[in-house]
Amino acid sequence: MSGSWRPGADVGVVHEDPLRQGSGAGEPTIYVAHLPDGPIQVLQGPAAVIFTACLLGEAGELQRRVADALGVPADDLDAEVLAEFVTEMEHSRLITRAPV
Amino acid sequence: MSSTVVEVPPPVRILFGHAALQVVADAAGVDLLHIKGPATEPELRSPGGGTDADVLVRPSQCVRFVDELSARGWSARSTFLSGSDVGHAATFWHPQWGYADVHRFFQGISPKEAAFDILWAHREMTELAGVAVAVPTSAARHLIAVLNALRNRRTEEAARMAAALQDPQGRVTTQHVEALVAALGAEVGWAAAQGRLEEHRGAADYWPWRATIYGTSRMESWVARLLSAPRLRDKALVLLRAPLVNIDHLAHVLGRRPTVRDVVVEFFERPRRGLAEEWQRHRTRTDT
Repeated sequence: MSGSWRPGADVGVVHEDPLRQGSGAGEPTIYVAHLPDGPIQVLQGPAAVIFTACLLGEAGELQRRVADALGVPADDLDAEVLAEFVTEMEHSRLITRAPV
Repeated sequence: MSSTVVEVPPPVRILFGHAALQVVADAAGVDLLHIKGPATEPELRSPGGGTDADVLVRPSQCVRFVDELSARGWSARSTFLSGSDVGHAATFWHPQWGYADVHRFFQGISPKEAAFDILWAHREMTELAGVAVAVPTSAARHLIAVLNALRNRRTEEAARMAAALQDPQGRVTTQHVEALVAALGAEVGWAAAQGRLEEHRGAADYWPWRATIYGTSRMESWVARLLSAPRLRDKALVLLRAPLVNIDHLAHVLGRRPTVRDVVVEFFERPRRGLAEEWQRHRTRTDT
């Protein structure tokens, strides 16, 4: 994979601060929605980590960024599952490829 | 994909509400300022957190915006005429985003286009739910917070916020806000927040503010509307509307859409309640 991603053109994003929910350092939660009609979808745990990692750098480094964020070795991540999830987010237009 | 459709926390829903309203406004070419709640500083927000997304729309584009909202799944829960005594806002509801208050002016600030022009000309940009939105300047946000506390009868809070601006080292000072007050026609509300309402007894805004802050009866509220109506024609409209039943309010009270019979009953009931309130007030005064 090459290039990087950004949120879909009509996608609104809200990052929930778990500390504000009284749940301590709970798993990350991100709410996303196509605007202006919705609905709101929630990405929790690894899904939220992958969504964020997609927006933070080159596609070629995605697996390493996700592993770093989850605190596991990159080799422990199933690259096929990761690619499948990213493809699904692209198909649902939550993320889109940024022009190179 | 491991995402699900869930009930989201109200603050998150409100953020999306602001963003959705902005997307509708952008598509319609409408100027929109986001006010209160997440569009302002935490210390200026209403206690207990908001329940809706508040926006101020350019008055001349209000009809267009409301039409667009209806086309995008928002339904009116109150109209500008029925929403409040001064007709400043209407409430809309969307199945995904919840409630939104659309203001065509803010109570205490001139309803004229020129006032919006001033707020718009000095707007600042921020992001809500990742969408770029315009907000009034920091001084205007403070003024709106003070007026909002006042119109909700949180007079001590309004006075405290106004007093806090007297710190000359503050990021926003009384000087900053007072420079706006005159330009926006907000003198009466600003004075009222500082306990100086009586200094503006002859002003058109005096009676609405008096009724808002101290008024206890619907009769007093209607008298305030009558006295503040600028022209004879406006006064006549107030008088004509006085006996009309507020269908939106009645629906809210009943918890369902009122029937014709409900409206007829309410039509005769309202004047009776108004007179009863006045009688009760008269008795309270004579008893003490």
